[in-house]
Amino acid sequence: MAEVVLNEVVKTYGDIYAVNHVSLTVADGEFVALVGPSGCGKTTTLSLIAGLNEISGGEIHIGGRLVNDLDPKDRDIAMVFQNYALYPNKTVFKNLAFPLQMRKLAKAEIERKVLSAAKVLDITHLLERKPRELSGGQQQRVALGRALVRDPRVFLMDEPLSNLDAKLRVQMRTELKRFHQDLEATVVYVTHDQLEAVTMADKMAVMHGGFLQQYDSPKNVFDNPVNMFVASFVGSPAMSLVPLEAVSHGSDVALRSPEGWELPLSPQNARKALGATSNQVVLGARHSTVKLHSAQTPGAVPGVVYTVEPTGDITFVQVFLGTSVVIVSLDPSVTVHPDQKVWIEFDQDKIHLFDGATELALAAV
Amino acid sequence: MRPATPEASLPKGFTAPPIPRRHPTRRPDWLAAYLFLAPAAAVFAAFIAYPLVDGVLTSFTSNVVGRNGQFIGFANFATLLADPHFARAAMNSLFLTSGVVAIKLVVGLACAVLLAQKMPARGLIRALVFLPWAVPGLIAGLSWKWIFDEQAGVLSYLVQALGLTDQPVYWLSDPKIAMFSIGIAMVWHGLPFFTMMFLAALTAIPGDLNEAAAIDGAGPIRRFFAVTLPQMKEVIFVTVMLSAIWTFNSFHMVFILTGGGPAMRTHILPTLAYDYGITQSQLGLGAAVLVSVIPVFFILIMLLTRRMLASKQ
Repeated sequence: MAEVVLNEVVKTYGDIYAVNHVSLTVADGEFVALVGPSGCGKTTTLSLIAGLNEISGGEIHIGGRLVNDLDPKDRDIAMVFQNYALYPNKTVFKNLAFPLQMRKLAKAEIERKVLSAAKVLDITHLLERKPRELSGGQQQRVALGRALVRDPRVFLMDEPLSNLDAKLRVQMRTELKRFHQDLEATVVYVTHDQLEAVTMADKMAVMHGGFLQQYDSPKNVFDNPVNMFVASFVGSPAMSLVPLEAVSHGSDVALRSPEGWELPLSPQNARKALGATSNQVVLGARHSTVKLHSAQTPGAVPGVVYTVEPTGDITFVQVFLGTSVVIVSLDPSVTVHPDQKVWIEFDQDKIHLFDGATELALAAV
Repeated sequence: MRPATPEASLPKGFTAPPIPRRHPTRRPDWLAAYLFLAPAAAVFAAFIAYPLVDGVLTSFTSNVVGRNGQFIGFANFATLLADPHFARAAMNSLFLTSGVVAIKLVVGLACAVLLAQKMPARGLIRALVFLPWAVPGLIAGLSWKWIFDEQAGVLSYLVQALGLTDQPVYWLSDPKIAMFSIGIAMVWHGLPFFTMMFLAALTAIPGDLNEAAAIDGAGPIRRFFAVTLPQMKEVIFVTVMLSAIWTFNSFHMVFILTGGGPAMRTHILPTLAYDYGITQSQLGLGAAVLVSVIPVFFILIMLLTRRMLASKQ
């Protein structure tokens, strides 16, 4: 296994930057998820690492070796594709054997490696079948097997679970995580599903518009999003964002809504708010940190219930604060109904403040 | 799907809901189906079935143009078996078809692979490559007749200008060369169909298969044979079969370029049939020429439809 280093990597198509000066290091044995919405550059980044796409600028090192000008086959990587990309005219055995044949291994050696990979993935009974005779989950395993037999330095995975049904996806997620732990493999994993990234990855690289937004452990990304994009992308349901105006009353600072209510800030949050480039400040809060009151409460701000979504063990309530929506999670035993007038209380220690102009998280000065 | 015995799969105490019955006065579905098929069936009967049956019947007669003869059994076929022109035309048909189709297959595949690459003005180049397909057969034939003209043709001029020979080349009147000349014209006219079909098949191959093979260590040539060609198998088969039928049946190119001459040496079966049936007025004999190849076509078409139906499943 090996370390992967991206240094100021750029990929342009004409004037368009698909990947814009991305730098990150995937440590040996680490599972890194590249995550972001469609068109954010995550898949392009992966294919640059694989060498399927020509790099426009910057450097990529795999295991300490500059690979910019190496062919995919010489990079010692294996890739798992979204549509599996199994050779349809070959049996499962021959699919697994193909990369080994290309390396001119002896026949007995090939057979030994294929059988051992098949055993790991529990596909031994499928070896004589053609890909079209397999279910989605089985095809996924074969694709993983074809990557595994190579004994590569890095596994690259391009949305490998997105073609599976919901139940199988959760199951394969667990197995992939286990696969990574057992092999201590270096994995770069592309997904648009932030939940996959959060649950499987040691680190997640959140991308948007070709830029790397944040690269950190899922917990840090969740707890300390660096900007409003990351805040709204990671977490389900997404963090609620309420644009407000910072106002000073002597030494006290409050956030004022267009409707006129004010939310006094704690001294630490006040210092953050004053660090903004203008008085436009966006308040961010995760559903679990917000409290709902049915009667007026000191420090709480007024809103109106829009929808109530019971999910079984948690009920999500969407509340309109003026024109912004705040999502609150409640115990299912609490009853609220649409159009009910409610008061919302934010936890000063857990709210996030963003600069309304730059969209960056505000830090205490 | 409802199980065969609905009650058996239900818990005790439950009964299956009744199967809804059709309204008894409702017109059966097949009537409407045949009604919709009727126009196509009528056209088929008038323009395909009737001429075919009539042609087969004619082949057993001594009919000549303008006068009905008698039923003479297999006499026409016996005549053909002993006829050196028929044997030569059959051989010409066979060699022309297999040669032309083989060349179209190889060159068409190469063209398709080239046209699938990224290159400047790709759309324009593709359009130019497909152009011959849009030229009507008659125009194509007449143009090639000019190109092959011994005195004024551009080909003769080129060959002499390049100093390859100082004698005129009898492209169409030397029987040793004429079949090749006809073949060249037919390849030119039919190649775009192959290129189009193969290019479409190439474009339909998922890109990640090639990417996977590249990562697995296969070079471009290996990828072509291990990934691309197997994916094109069905299209190649259908294209070759269709083209074989069309080429075998193709009448106009030989008719325009040589008319079967000189000395009936370049006839293929369709032109020989025309020569016997129309030019020499022996309708029965002409029909027999074409009827004799029906079994060949029957086998080709059976193979083709079976494959096309199988690949649909």
